[in-house]
Amino acid sequence: MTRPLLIFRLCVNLFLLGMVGHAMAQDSLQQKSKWMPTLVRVGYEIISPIRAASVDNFSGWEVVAETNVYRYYPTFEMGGWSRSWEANGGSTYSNDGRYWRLGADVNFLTKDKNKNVFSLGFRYGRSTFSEDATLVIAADPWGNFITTRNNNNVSSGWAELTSGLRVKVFEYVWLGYTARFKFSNSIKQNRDLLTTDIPGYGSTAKETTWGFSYYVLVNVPFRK
Amino acid sequence: MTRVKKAIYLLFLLLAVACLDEPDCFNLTNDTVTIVFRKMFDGRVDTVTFARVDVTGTQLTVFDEDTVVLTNLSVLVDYTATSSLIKVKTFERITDIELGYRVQGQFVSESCGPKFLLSELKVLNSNADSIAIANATPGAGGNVNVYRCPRTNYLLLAFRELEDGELRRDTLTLAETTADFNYTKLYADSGALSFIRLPLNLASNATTHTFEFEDGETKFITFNYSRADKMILPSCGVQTVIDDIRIVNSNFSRSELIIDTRLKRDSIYDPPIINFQVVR
Repeated sequence: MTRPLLIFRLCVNLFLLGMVGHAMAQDSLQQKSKWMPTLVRVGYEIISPIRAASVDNFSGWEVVAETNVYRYYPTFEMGGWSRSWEANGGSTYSNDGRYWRLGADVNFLTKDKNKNVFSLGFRYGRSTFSEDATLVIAADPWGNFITTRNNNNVSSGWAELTSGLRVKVFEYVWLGYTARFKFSNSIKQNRDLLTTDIPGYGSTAKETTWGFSYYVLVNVPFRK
Repeated sequence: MTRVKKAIYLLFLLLAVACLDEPDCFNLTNDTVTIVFRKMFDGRVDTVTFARVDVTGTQLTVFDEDTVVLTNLSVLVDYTATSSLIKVKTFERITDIELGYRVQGQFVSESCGPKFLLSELKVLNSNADSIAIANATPGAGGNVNVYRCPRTNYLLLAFRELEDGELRRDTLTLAETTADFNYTKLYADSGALSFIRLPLNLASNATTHTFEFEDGETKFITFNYSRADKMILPSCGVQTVIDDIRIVNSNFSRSELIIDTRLKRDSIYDPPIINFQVVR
């Protein structure tokens, strides 16, 4: 095959390929549009500050940011909490830490005219915190015993199954909650002080635990 | 908005379940160590007569000169330290068991207070014949196995009675049993008995036992035997073993070696087998 003929054939093939590609792009444009995010929602969790104002032993905050990809809502949450407790016998415990959660929700109200959301989803959470405790024993047969122990820069991961609701209140103001079933906490209990409470996760007393967040959200639509 | 209502109901259900998420305050600290006494020969549990058990460094006494027969012993160890010395006094000896362990503390809740988790149990020191950790986490199952070497000088005598031409188990009430040498009583030798474990003198080739019955009657048996030094188990070293035991004198109406084709009944076994029977 001569060189000009080879170039001609190559050009024809590229043209045909381009035509096919253009036709495919036209077909997928419709598909593609529904997979493009149309909004960003950012929210502030309001139970934590209410709780912090009503009890002495808790302070905390949490924010959330989410967007939509068709009926899926990638979500990022971050926050922090510190707790302190004192038992009757004089034992005390306090912790302080930050956490984040990354995951996605699936919306089951796809035909709702207000675009309200009822979702099921999952999260992976991670927390870094410090804690200290004074443990007091005043009982026979060992007599009085006081020990002070602490852990610094402890980290832990966990998983969550979530169920949530987002409801439009005004044009840009939404309210919503996320209820969480938390499990597979990965904390290694190999320290002299065993962890009692993980910021973002909660109590380590059992294999699983529950959580609840109530958000005030600002909805920012940027595409139709 | 029916789905929204369902979601709200689901939320309240989740919150209701979440209320059950409080820690339990019962038995928080796993400070109970169970010591199981076993025979080294076959690894089976041994029945031990305890006279006193102390956890030193405390005032904790499990038994105080009050005879208790058990196969295992549960004692509290000191979770304010990382080791405890347990002194087990039986009729035979005083066994020291010094255990080391890791103690982790935790604040459980405002209502429960603290707890301590013991783990990584190990034997720091002991004068037992042999000792091993079976479960390094106190609080569940047998934690420490204490093995004893075989006892090579206890024969087993059975009491029988002849009824309708057949030998049946008999129960005799003994006031006292004595031997012609000094020995430590490890087994019951008075009261209502169908079997009795009798020690043989390892310093002699003959031992006589005298049985004083509750009705005042007195019987005796004299055993002759041969002795030899032998290593049965390496960790027990060389022990004196007894063989070829015979009854050379007795005022029981009938006293005889049990004839058995499988086991050599004129030798000592531990765990014991019936060597002899006496018939009233």
